[in-house]
Amino acid sequence: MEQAIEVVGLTKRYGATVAVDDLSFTARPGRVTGFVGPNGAGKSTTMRVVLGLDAPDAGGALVNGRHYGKLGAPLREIGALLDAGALHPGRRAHDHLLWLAQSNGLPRGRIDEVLALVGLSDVAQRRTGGFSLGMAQRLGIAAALLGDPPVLMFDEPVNGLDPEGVRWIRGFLRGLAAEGRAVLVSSHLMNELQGTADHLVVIGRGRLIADTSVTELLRAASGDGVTVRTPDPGAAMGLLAAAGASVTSNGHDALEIRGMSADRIAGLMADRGLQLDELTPHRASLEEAYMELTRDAVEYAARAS
Amino acid sequence: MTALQAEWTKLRTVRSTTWALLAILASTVVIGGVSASTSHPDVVPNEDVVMIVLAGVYLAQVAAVAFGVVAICSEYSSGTIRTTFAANPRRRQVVIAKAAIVAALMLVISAVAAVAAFSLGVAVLHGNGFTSAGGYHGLSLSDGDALREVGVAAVYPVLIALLSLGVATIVRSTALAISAVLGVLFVPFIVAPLFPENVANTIVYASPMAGMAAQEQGAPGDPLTGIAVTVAWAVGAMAVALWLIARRDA
Repeated sequence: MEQAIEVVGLTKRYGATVAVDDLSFTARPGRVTGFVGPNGAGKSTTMRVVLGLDAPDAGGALVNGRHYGKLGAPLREIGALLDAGALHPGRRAHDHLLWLAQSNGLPRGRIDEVLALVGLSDVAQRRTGGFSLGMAQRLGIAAALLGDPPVLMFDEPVNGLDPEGVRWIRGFLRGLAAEGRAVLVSSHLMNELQGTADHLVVIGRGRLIADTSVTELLRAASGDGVTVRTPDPGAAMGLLAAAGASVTSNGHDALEIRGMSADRIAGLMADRGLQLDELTPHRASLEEAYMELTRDAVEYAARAS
Repeated sequence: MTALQAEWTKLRTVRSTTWALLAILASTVVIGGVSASTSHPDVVPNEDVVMIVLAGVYLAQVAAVAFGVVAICSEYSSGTIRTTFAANPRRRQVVIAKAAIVAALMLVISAVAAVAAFSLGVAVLHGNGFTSAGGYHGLSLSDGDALREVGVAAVYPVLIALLSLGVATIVRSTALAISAVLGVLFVPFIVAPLFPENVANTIVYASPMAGMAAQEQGAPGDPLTGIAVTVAWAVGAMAVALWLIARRDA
């Protein structure tokens, strides 16, 4: 069976609220799957169902082809970090990992290994109540890695971290995927995943909005365009529109062109003898593409609240 | 086995465990000693001297309540309960392992406390003029009643800790669980005197404290029935907790 997280037709309600609505997607090995959506979209709920913490109302999730409850030593199958703050403040970092290791019959030697991996060896004997958010985050990642699992799942791992911590976690996630592990990482900010995620699962209001590669999403985004400045915008507008581009006027002498490449625009204008003062292609950022995708979900949420 | 190991590590690596167990030991021994030193044959006509030296158990049970409640509620308040149930999705196994560790630790501490309170208390009582020659029995563990009463003093706090663990697992809040258990323990004793004697006795001997209340000689309840009532409370609370734990979202 493939080592992965499969979510199949998952529906979860809390009272009258539908938190997750018929959601299906897969986090595959060897890549970082970004799990993106506005706050309250159902990301954490989905992750809790994956870990068998919350029971689904319909559908469900499989980890490495099995229901979570059927896993013998779950920490060897999937490592997860849902809430970095979930630590007993009076317990030492090493002891937190000790009881976790014992619960799954993992070798004690693994504790020092994972502490070294996340750079916490020096504070192993400190009580976690004195940890910064960044340190707690690293301890949570160490806990997820205890069983050396092929699948990893992190809920908002960079939320609240300083830039150095963010960079460290991004590199770490890329490294885990490069080792062939399936990595599912959630975020409510798309730009946090730019350069980290290979694949994106976008949800809004508990529903799947997009399940696509990052490249695919950027290509589909309508934010791609070219800014053209010319002394005779009227003539250029007619010419380019006739050639199939979508043209909007952008102030006095500038035009926004979509659906046509910069070199084709330059060629057409040169053939017609039109002067070109500026030709600037610009790409949609991942954030823009995401905003466009989730606009409906967010607007609905704003109206409803 | 792995679940027992994990729960043992969890309990021994937080300071609240040490404090709760020390409180149980200290209150049992100190209150027993004080109670013995203030007792004199002329003011205590009751020939059962054992309950004089075991009086500290009534206070020690409050620490047993805190111990049982915190054993699981510290996991709910910190959020580690999700880590626990993700690491071992067999939740009943986890709660049973926790109960076993709580019970074992409590039994060791309360047995030590009961024997220590008895030895110290009896020595003090001797000095105050309570002697076998004076007609007082139960001054040694070779006496059947004394052995039973010390045995109950060792077992009773274990049952109260389990009752507390069960209630805490049901309500998932430290404050709520402690209030609920202390209420169920002490309210019957506070309201019972407001009723006619037979009703009052029924109220007291149906409460979880029946186990202790029925030990005193001359008490209307049978000692074994009394401890059976406390067992029933503990088992009942744990049964509801185990039923709920597998059905609820963590």
